[in-house]
Parts: sequence; structure tokens; C-alpha cells
Amino acid sequence: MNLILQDRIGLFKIMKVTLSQLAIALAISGVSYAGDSSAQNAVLDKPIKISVKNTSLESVLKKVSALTSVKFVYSKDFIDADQLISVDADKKSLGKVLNDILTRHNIHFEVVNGDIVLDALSVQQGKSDEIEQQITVSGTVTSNTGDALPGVSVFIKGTKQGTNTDAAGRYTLKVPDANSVLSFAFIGYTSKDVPVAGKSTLNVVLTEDSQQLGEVVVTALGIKRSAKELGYSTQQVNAKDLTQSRPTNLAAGLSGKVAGLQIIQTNNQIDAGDQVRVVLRGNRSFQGNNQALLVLDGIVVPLSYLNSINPNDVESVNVLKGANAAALYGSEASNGVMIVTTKHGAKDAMEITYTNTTQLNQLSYFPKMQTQFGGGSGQDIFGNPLYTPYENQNFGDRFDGSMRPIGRTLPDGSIQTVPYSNLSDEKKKFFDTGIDEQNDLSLSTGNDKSSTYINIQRLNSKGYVPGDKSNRTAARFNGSRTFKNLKVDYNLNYTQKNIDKSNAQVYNNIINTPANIPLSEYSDVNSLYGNLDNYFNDYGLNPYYSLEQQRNTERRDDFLGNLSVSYDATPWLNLAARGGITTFTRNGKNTTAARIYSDFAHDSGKAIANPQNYPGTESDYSYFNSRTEGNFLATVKKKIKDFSTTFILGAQVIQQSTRTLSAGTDFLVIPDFYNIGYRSGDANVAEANTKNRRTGAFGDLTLGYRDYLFLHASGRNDWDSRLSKENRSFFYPSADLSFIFTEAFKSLKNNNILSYGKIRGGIAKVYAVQFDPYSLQSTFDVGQGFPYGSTAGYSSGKVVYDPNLKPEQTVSTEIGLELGFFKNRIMLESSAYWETTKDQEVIKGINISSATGYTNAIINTGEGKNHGVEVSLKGSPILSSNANGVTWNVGLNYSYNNNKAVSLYQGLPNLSIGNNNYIVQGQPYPALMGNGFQTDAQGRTIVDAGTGFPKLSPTNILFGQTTPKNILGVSTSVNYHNFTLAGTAEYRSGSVIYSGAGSTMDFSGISYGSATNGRERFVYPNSVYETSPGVYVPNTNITTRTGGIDYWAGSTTRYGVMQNYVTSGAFWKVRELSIGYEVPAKLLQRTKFIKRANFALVGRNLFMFRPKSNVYTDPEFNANASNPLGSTVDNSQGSSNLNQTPPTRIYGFTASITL
Amino acid sequence: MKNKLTLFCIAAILMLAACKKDYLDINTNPNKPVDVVPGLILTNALNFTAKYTTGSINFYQFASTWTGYWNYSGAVAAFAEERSYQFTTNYGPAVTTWDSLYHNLADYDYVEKKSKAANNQFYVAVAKTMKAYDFHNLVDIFGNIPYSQALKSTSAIRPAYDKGQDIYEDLAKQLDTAATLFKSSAGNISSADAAYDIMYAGNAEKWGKFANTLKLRILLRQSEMPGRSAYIQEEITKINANGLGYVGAGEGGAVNPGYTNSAKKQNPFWANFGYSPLGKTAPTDGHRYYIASAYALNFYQSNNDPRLPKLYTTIDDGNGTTYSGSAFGPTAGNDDNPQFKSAIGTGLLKGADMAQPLLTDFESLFLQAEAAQRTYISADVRSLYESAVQQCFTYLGAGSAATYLAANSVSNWNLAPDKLTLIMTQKWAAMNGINDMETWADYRRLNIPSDIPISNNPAASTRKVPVRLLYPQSEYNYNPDNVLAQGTISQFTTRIFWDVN
Repeated sequence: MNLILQDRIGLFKIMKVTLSQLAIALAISGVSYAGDSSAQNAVLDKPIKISVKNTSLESVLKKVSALTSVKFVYSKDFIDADQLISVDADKKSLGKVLNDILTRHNIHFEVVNGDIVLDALSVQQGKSDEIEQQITVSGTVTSNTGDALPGVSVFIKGTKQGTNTDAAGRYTLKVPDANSVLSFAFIGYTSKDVPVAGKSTLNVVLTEDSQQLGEVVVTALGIKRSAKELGYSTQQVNAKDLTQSRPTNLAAGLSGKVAGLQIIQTNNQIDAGDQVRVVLRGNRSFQGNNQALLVLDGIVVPLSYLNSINPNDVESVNVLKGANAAALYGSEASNGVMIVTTKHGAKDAMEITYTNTTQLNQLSYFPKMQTQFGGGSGQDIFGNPLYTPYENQNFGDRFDGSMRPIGRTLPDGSIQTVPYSNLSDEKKKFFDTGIDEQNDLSLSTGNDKSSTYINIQRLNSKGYVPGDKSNRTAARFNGSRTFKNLKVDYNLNYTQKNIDKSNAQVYNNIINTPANIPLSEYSDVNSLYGNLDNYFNDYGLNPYYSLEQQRNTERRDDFLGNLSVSYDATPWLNLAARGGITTFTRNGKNTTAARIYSDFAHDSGKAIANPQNYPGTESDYSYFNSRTEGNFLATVKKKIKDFSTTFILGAQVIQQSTRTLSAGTDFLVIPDFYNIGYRSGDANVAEANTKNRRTGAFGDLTLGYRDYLFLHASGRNDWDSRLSKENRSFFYPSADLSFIFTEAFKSLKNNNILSYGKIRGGIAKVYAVQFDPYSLQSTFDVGQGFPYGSTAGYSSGKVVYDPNLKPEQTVSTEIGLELGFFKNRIMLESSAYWETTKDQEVIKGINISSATGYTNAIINTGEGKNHGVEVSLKGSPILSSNANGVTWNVGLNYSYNNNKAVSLYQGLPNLSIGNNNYIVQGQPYPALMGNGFQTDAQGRTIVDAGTGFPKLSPTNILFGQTTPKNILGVSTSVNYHNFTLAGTAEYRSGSVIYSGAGSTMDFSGISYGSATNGRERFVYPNSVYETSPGVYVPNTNITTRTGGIDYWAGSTTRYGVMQNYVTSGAFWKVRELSIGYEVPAKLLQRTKFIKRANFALVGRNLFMFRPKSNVYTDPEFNANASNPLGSTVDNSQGSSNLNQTPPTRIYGFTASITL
Repeated sequence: MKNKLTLFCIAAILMLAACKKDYLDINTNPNKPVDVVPGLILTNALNFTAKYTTGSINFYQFASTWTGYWNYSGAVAAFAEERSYQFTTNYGPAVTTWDSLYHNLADYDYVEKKSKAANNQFYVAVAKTMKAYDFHNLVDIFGNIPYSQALKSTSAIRPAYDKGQDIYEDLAKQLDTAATLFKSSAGNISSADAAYDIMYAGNAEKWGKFANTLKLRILLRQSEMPGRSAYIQEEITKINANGLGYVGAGEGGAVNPGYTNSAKKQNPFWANFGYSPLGKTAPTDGHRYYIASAYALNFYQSNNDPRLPKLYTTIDDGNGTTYSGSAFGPTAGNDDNPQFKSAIGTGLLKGADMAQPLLTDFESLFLQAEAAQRTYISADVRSLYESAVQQCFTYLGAGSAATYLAANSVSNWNLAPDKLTLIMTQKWAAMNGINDMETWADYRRLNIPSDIPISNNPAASTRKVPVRLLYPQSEYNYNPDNVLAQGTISQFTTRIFWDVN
């Protein structure tokens, strides 16, 4: 175990650029270090008295630490902690003492977050001339993942001669002879010795140290804590892993990378990126929010914002998985937290990076369809199917290739005639290739007092649904500035999105087109056979026209800003305040074009042309959401002998408000003129405002003993305006323990196999207020149709409220084990958790008998239990020993979650939460329920002996849970030379889905299944019939009354029976695959101005593997309501319909150049 | 240093200030009121009753075809349930009627309680009357229903069911009380209270007649129950005691909050079965889905009934005189498309702004005629009967009924062999498209007209007009113990208590 004293690698990981660049600065300017920097005064000015002789550096530092409560952070890889030093100081400032001790030994120090970070000081180049040098060696140092590494120390082994790599990872060094050996060292990476062996170019690859033990983790409220102190589960995803396949949104980049994190992108449309659901450790609340809290640079933002964050801005995403981790964020964090930290400016360098990503989005999957029968719905007197030229159902006779008319005879006597044969590829042709083009320009600069990071981004998207388009323009301005003991940080972000898309359910329309129709011929909606009046289909619009007919345009303006001030009042006391504001506005318009059919279309009996006139409609909406937050924190750090203490006291104020206005009309007077002023009749108008306030006060204490035992406890009290005065205030505590046993027991130290071991455990209680404001009192609605002129009328609301609503309570217990093997080349992290959620806030209400006068009662009721296991394994099976070898990294993230609805309400058996999802007592939730067929004891379907049709079960059938029990994510990357191949795959299982598409396809007779029996009568598979009560005989001869339209489009046999379309929701998806190439620094050197350049081919959602039974769609797709901010609020899952468009795969390239 | 400390102190003080007492007292709903005067609730409740009873598709979707008035067109492939008499606990009209009438009752209940507290007797009486209207409709459809424990919010979250007959008897009492209150408050209605009354504009006497007539309807429902006549007679004596009488010609109860031909403001029957505000080129789905039933069409046609062109349209064959209906039962074919068949006529679809009748004068006259015929009340049966037919003609705009009433045994008082059959047959002919639920109830009670066609749909395994609808699935889900206590419910055999034939 080569870890000593304090946090090692991770802190450096975060700080590595700044530190190394600082080192460059030092190298150039000689020995002068930040000791004079005013920011560090508070720590370094502290007087100290110490006198030792020939004592190891380690002991001296420990002593200083004990005297001053200052932590030292360093790696034994760079600092020889055993070197003997002498010092004699009396009332000298700490800075001066350290200066004396360390500079002598070529050690640089810097104050980082109140801790003192030690780094090997590169040798002054000025002195190097004194030694005779014969060979100049140069080269580039890159990481095993292909990044150029700036600031790497390069030494001639056995000497103090050396240099640092520059911003592009390049170095040049004169060496004494051809047999010299160069030592390359960089914090966070395994150091490496490379013999010069006569070469003049030495390119070196340093391998990232896979361990993240000493990593500093950003925890609640931006408090940075060493990972080993933590008694709860967190997982960090850094920028590199997020963006390896260049997702245009962050949610896509996170999938499969964190154990226990389920990200569901429920749709595929142009703005589908916003329809995201993020759940950690499964569902706890029956009806309330189960989604993680998203925190961007310390400020809470709506979850849908996950997709407005430019992935290239992100430094890291930290996931705090349970309530245990999040007690300090208060109620909102009961479902875990995702903390996104954006980049700050680099020190002492100016970097300009330009990145272009261009991606194509193509239809990847279309359900299998029948190819044998064409349009029709009628039968002759013998029951033989008949062809109908204007039908949208596919129950005509068998294709025979003859020329047949389609549609109705036009007024001029003409009619379109096409061969009667299968053209189902026409449906796929309908969809375009979508294109996303993203350009990013970022500037990063700074010095030791300030930093600036600016990013401008533009994303232009063309949807794969014809005519859909969107763009996103984002600007970010991050900066920091240090004044003496005061540090100011600010982040400003503005994003504007414009969306122009069709509202039409075009997929439904396409599916309802018979197989013999040459659909693509109608792409011109003004053509003879494609126009409104003449389009063949009696029951549906030309889908090309419906795209034009129903449109939505929306503009979103998001503004985020925050300012934080941190002040080191004394070396042991830090005061910090942060204020943030986030505002989101959505302004949009929906339009439907008027349809006016010709007399011909109307009089011919064309069903859709009746009524002959449909007025145009429009609706305008405006939604505003703002959240302001203020935090105040006081942090006390003390170290007394073997004990370290960190105590934080804080307060928080949050105000959230929303405003929704909408105005629309169903009767526009002038066709194609979409202004609400030009209507007939009343406008449809609505207004809604909400405001709520919350305040909180909390304390958080961490006690450490000898750096291997940590006890952490927190307590928080909230006051929430949404609850009554009596219930408004609530307190919740948490406690956890972390024990690094490899540090505690001498026998385990420096073990070559088990290099790190930690066990942890914690318990937390957290309350959540899930209710909207104003949920304590029943209200009155405007009566239907009112006002009639000047007559108003109101009606009592159908929802009854409980004035004594309480917050929902979750008690969460978790234990964890973290192990590092073979010098942490393999890291295992596992957690198990148990959660109980009581007093469930049933926010939509328990359904009650209408006879009560109400339909829903909003109350606290019911209890749910959750438990699960998470395992995360990271390792490097192959580690290249030289620059060009193969390095292979693998990460596995597995989670198992199981939950159960323990009780509902007074014996209520189930609670509907929409989309056929229910909370069923005694079952995992949500569960899919719906109608199905009767079965006998052996599970065989009971058919009616008369009709041969299966008999419907009188009660709903429980099909299973809709959220996956098992989620496995696999990420891997392989490096070879300058190439990196990376991929992420994800597996989910244990859930069921209902595909509404299947129902529609059976009804329309386009489904593959509907032709498998040739539309002939058949014996229902695995069926029995009843001969006398309770006696069932296997059915071998009773055929269905019909195998044609009456069966397939029958509501009680096929399309109306959910069971026919419920399948396993399991899948394997290759979510990301990318191959990247980093242009060798050697080549770039010639350009003089390009520091780094890389290119990559990327693909996402390339492959999907599902059980054979699921023939309809991507099991992740889901019909679900979104809130005005876009994120899906319903807990109901696993129920899709044709409002979603079919799945796509994405592939493209990305290029990035840094100047 | 000092400045910065001050800064932090200010920040800290601001945060603390945020905790001041009323900082969190912002939970007052700005979006919806939590208290409303009863008049505003009454206005909506009356309109809502119209919307969900006689103006509602639910009162016609099955009843209009089972009673031989209308049939389903070929414009839509639906109505398999109605054609086969086979439906489930999820049957739309049953579910909607249950939910909407109880919701409506909650509003009347609010009006009653609030007005009682404010000592507004008129509103108390209106609320009692309208509660009786809703409850008896529910009983007629479902039989035993929650009554005494209904409308109690969470204090009776699973309300028990009362026997239909007990409910009926209590409704009769409530209507007595209402009539008495109407009588005592007549002439004392404030103009403000009158303004909210979109049925009788504060005319308490007319309301009293409405209550009496409703009670008569309820009593006559029980006419076939053995040994019930003494009770009926006794209750009628109570009606006579208040002296307000029954709804007479021109006094029918109809609701109009200000219907107009624009979106969502049309008369509800018109909005369901008429045309969108765009007019005749934009018929509603309901208009296109329903065509004339051959049975009723034949009845009016063969009797030269002047109401025929008012009840049904002629088909678009250029003649302007051809009517065509189709037989109820088989799945509609292309021949049944609306353009080939007679649709709902202009006597029913008078205008988008027409008032929606809840209880017409001619229904009242038919009720009185039947009551007189049964000697429950003493009056000239013939004149009541003829007046009833005439008022129906008047309502439909069919002119004078004199010729028709003289024509033949179907209409002529003297020629008719059985007066009750005559009254009930003519009531059937009159109620077409006005309140088909009443016709269904009369048919269940008396089986008149006896030759109403029964569905011959292959899926109609029981060839019989259902005697009830099934309790909605929501009751089995949310009030299971109480609904299961009603036993196994069959639409063919579980009769409403008054249905003994």
C-alpha cells in the first residue's frame, strides 16, 4: 500500500492540470512558489514551533499536521517520504518552515482547499547546462486513453535533471548519453522508466492509476470529501468516459456507467432528449417523484436539463446513490443526487478547443409485418376476404400481382391502379436520415488568482421524421477569482432551444396503411393522388400531409447563474455562501391546419371527409419556472492527535415558482392564419401559478481516527410552505461509518494482492414532500362549458384533500465493501441497501368510489419496501508497458433492485397510476395489469367450445413489474498506439412491457402474426375447452370461428386484449461504440500552433437484442406524460403506443482541435 | 477581513430573516377558489344535469336502439356491445353515468348544505329536487346504490348500498319537503337567487310542479309492483296536499345557461347529435353514427305522423321525401352509411341554442294521463292524453295534432281498445330522442310497445332487452365489499325493484 497520510490521487486528478501548469511556471521562474500567494496566507501564516533532527519527512509532516490541523496531501510515488530531514523553527510561519524543509528537497507545495498538496519539483533547467549533454531527446507523453498529458515530470533517472511536458504533452530534454534512462511521472498515473537506448524520440504512454481511493468526491452542497471517509455509495463518471461516443446530450452519455442508475429515454423524436427519466435504486414512492435530483455546479436544476447541459462542458458527474448520501440536500434528494461539475479554466495557459460532431440518425428497427394480404375489411357471404380499394385495414384477399384500383374514382373518372402485391418497405422509406451537427468552441485560461472557461455551442438537428428540426445554442461562462482569503466562483449559462416538429401520430398513420400501397408516391401532398381529397385512404390522412398539418414550434430559454463566495476566516474555519438562480421558459405554439374537403370527397362517402370542414386550431402556451436558492455554510476543521474533525453548520433557503399561461382556439376563421385573435367563439384560456418556499438548517460532523476510521453524522430540519403549520417542520438524521481495514491492521498493509479494503455502513432517514403547493384544501373548478356568455358556473372539485398531509418518510440502510487488488489495478465496489418508505404521499390520490362525491382522495397512505445490491468492478486486464502497446480497461456495473408494495389503503388491492401500471399490494411496483384470457390450472388457454376463441378472464391479469430488476452495464476501452476503441453495452431484465403498436398492427391486419395462419381458421395454440364444470380437455380440433378480420381485429380476441401484446422487457443494447485517433504530438509539433487534435468515429444504439417474443419496438420506449419542463413525471413504465416513433441508431464522427 | 466578516454576517442574517414567521405562509391557492357561493354551483349543476342526462350521449347510446328509435350507421365499426346486449362492468355509458351523476349530486349536496346554513329555503328545495332527479335515474339504471352513506367524502370512503325501494321512498319524502319549501318561498325569491336558476329563473311555483311531477314519475314506476297501490295513493295524497299541481302545458323544465352556436357552448344534445359550430357541413360523430331505426320510422310513416319529418331527415336522393331506416341488430354494412339513411331530424335538433329539457310538459301530461287512467289521480284522462300528444307536436314543431289524434286506433282515444296501451304507445312515440331512458324504463315496466325489435345479432346469445346496466368496474375496485354484497349481477335477470313484468 503506497498510500500515505492523506488523500492522494484523486485530489490531484481534479487538480492535475492546474498543478502541473503551476509546476511549469515554477520551472520557468525558478524557485518561487505560491507560499507568498495571499490566498494561502491564512494557512501558511500560521506560526509554528518545531524542532527535529534526521527525522523522516513523513513523521515531520505528521507532526506539523498535528500542530496546525493542516492536512498534507502527497503521493509516495513522487515524494520520498522516508528521506531524513532536520528543521528547527520557533514561531516561524508555517509557510516559511515548509519553504525551508521542502524546497531543499525539491518538493513543491501548494494550498488546495485548505490542505497542503506536495508535488515533486522539477529540476531547474538553468542548472542543466552545467552538465555535459550529448543527446537531445524529445517526445510526447500521452495517457493510455489517448490524451496528451501536460505537466508530466520527465527526469533523467538518478539525477535531478528534468523538465515538464508542455500543454500538448511534449517535452525536450538533453541527456548525458545514449544509455540514460528517463523517468516519467505524473500524478494520477503509474510512473514509468524508459531507457533512451540511443533514440532521439521517446513517446511515452502513462497508464491511469485505476484506483480512485484518495479521490476527492463532491458530496452534498458541494462539500468536497475524501472518498475514503464516505460511509455511503457514490460513483463518479468523468468527462472522458462521458463523452467517448460524443453524445449530444448528457443522459445518453451516462447510461450503463453507474451501478444502480437507470436512465430511460422514452422516445425518439426531435425533442425526445428531454423526455428522460432517471431513477436510482428503483422506485420508492408509489405516485411521487422517484427521480434523482440534478445538481449543476451546486445549484438544483430540473432533471430535463440533463439534456441541455453541453457534455463537453462537463468535468465530472458524481452520483450519490441513496438517501444516505443526500441527507444534506434535504427532501428533494431522497432519491439520490447527480452532481454535475462543469469545467473551469486552466491555469497559466490559454487553450482554445474547437470540436465538431456530426451524427446521422437512422431508422434501426421496424416491426415485422405480413406481406401476403392487401387492403380490405369486408367478406363475401362465404366469409372470404374482399379487397376494398380505400381501406386502411389489411384484411383483403391474398396478393396476386394483378392490377387493382386504389382509392376512389376521381371526378374525372380516373383512378390510380397499382399491382396488388406487397410494398411494405414503403413504410420504412417514409423516414429520413436525421442529422445532428454540433459545433463547440471553448476557451480556457487562468492564472493562480483567476480562471475563466467560456464555451459556445451550437447544435443543429434535422429529425428523421421528415420536416422535424431543432437547434440549440448554448453559452457558458465559468470563472473564479481569488482575493487574499476570499475565493469567488461564478457560473453563468444560457441555453436557447428552438424546436419545430410535427404533432401528428404519424407512425400510427403509417402502420394503418395497407401493404399494397405505394406510400412514398404520396410524398407530394399536392399531387393528384396525394392530395387531401384524392388520397386513397377513407379513414386517414396522407401521413406526409399530416406531418404538415399538425405542427408544434417551441422556444426554450434557460438561464442559470450562481455565485459562491468562500472565505478562510482562520486556518480551521471556512465560511461560504452561495446563491443561485435558475429560470426556464417555454414558449410555444401548436397548430392544426384547416381541412376543407371538396364536394366530391365528401359526397363519395369518404369517411374522413365527413364532416366536410374542419376548422384550423391553434394554441399558444408559455411556461415559466424559476428557482432561487441560497446556502450558507460554516466549516470547522480540527485535528487533534489521531483524531480529525470536520464540522459543518449550514442553512438553506429555496423558493420555487411557476407560471403557466395558455390560450388557444378550436375555431380559426382564416385557414392557415394562426393567430388567436382571428377566431370564432370563445378562446380556451388557462392560467396557473405556484410558489413554494423551503428553509432548512443542518449540521454535519465527520470524525476521523488515524485516517482509517471515519464516523459521519448529519441532521437536518426543514420547514416547507406546502404543509400546514403543524406539519411544516420536520427533522431527519443520518449516520454512517467507514473503516479502511487495510490501513488499520499492520498485517494487511502493503499486501500485494489486496491493496485496499474498506467496509462501510450507514443509516439515514429522509422526508420528502411530494405534493404540489395548495394540496391541503379542496377547490372548485369552472363548470364544463362555462362561462356561457355572462353566466358563470362552478363545480366542486373531484379531489378531496387531507389538510394534515405529512411528508413521505424513507428510512434507508446500506452497507458496502470496497476492495482494491494488485495495486488497485482491479477495484471492486459493492453496496447493499434496504429502504422502507412510509406515509406514501399519494399525490394523484387514492381512487375512491364516486358515490363519495369525489373520485380521488389525496392522503398519506401505504408503505413500500425496496432492497437491492450494486456491484461495480473496474480493472485493466492488459496494461501496456510501453507507448504503443495494448491497454485494455473494463468496467462492469451491475445492480439488482427489488421492491414490494407492503400496504396500500385500508385493504385497497391496487392503485392505478396510469398507462396500465398499478401499485399492487404484495407485489413489486409499478406492475402491469390488464385484460387477458382464462387459463386452466396448467396454464392452458380456455377456449369457447362454440367459437374456438379464447375466453376473456373476468378479472385483470397481473403481468409483472415494469421496471427492470437487473441492470448490467459494461464499459470497455482498448488503446493501441494512438487509437482507442471504446464501447458501452447495457442489459436490463426482469420487467414486462406492453406494446400498443402490436394492438394497432393486429387491428389493421399489418402485423406479421395476423398472416401466419393464412387468415384461415385455426386451433388456438395450447388451448383447452370445458366439457363440464372444471373439466378441461385439450383442444385439438375446435378451430376458431374465423381466422380473418373478426379474429384479428376483434376486441375480445386480439387487439383489445392486452395479454396478446405483453412480452418480456429484457434487452441487451450496445449503447456506444467509438474508435478514436489522437494525432501524434510529433506531427502536430510542425504546425507550431496546434496542441492536440483527435478524431473519432462514434456510434450509439447500434445493436439491440431482445427476446423473440418482443417483435414490436424498443422496450425502453414508453407512453408517458411529461411535465412542462419535459421530464417524465409518471412512475408508470413499460407501456408503449404509436405516439412514439420507431427506434433509430446514431452514427457519425467527431473532430477536435486544441490550440 | 472585517468587511468580509460583515458580508457573511449579512448573508447569514438574510437567511435567518427568511425564516421569519410568515415567510412560509404562502400556501394560499391562487389558481382555484376554495369557497364559492351556492348559486354559482347551482348554475353549473343544473347545466351539468342536462349535459349528463337528457342531453347526454349516455341516455341514447343504448336506450335509443333498444327501444326501437334509432340504429347505428355504417360510419363507424362500433356498438358491438349494444347490438349484442353484451357488455361488461367497463361499459362506457354506465361508467360515465355513475361517475357524472354522483359528481352532480355532490354539487347539489353542497348547495343544499350551504343554503340550509344560510336559511335559503328555495335553494334547499331546488337541491333536494335535483338530487331526487339524479338518484332516481341512478336507481333506474343500477338498482341498489349508495344513498344514505353517499356524498360523505372521506368519512364514508366505502359507502354502503341502500335498497332501490328504500331510496325511492326517501326520494318521495324529499320531494314532499321540497314542494312544501317551494310553496312557502314562492314570491320571495331574491333576484340574485333567481338569476342563478337557469331552469325556472326563480319561479318557485314551477319548481314545485316540477318536484310534484318528478314524484309522480317515481310513483308510477312502482305501478306494477303487487300491493303497492295503497302506498302510491297515499303519496299522491301528499302531492295533492301541497296544491301546486303538476307541470302543465308550456311549463316543462328545461335548462339554458345561454347556449350558443360556438365551440363548447352548444346545447349538449345538439353538440352530441347535431353539428359543429361550422354548421351542416360538419356533422358531429354522434350525428353520423345514428340513423333511423326501421321500426320507429315505419310506425310514424304508416300512421302519417306529422312528426316524422321532424324526428328524421329525408335521405339525399334528390326527392326530399324518401325516408330510410335499418333493422337493429346486424352489424352495419355500407348501405347503412349516413348518406343513405335518415338521420336525426330538426324537431329534435332545433338549434344549437335550444334549451335542454329535463322533464317536458308532454311527459308530465303522459304521466298524469297514466296516473288518471290508473285512477291514482282524478282527472279527464282523454284530455290529458290528447294534450300530451299535442304538446309533443308543439315541441317538435309539427303543428296541430288534431288530425293525427282522430286518425286511427294508434292515436284515437275512442278507437283504441286499451287506453293504457294507447297512452304508453303514444308516450313511446313522443319521447323519441327526448329522454330515451324514460322509454327504456317504461318498456321494462310494461313491455309496451310489445313488438319492439330484439337484436338478431349473432353475438346476442340472450335475445332480450337488458333490464339494467352493470355496476361500474370502479365500484368493484374501490368499493368491493359493498358492491359484492349485491350479489352476482346479470343484465338480463337482476331487475330493478319496480320491474316485475
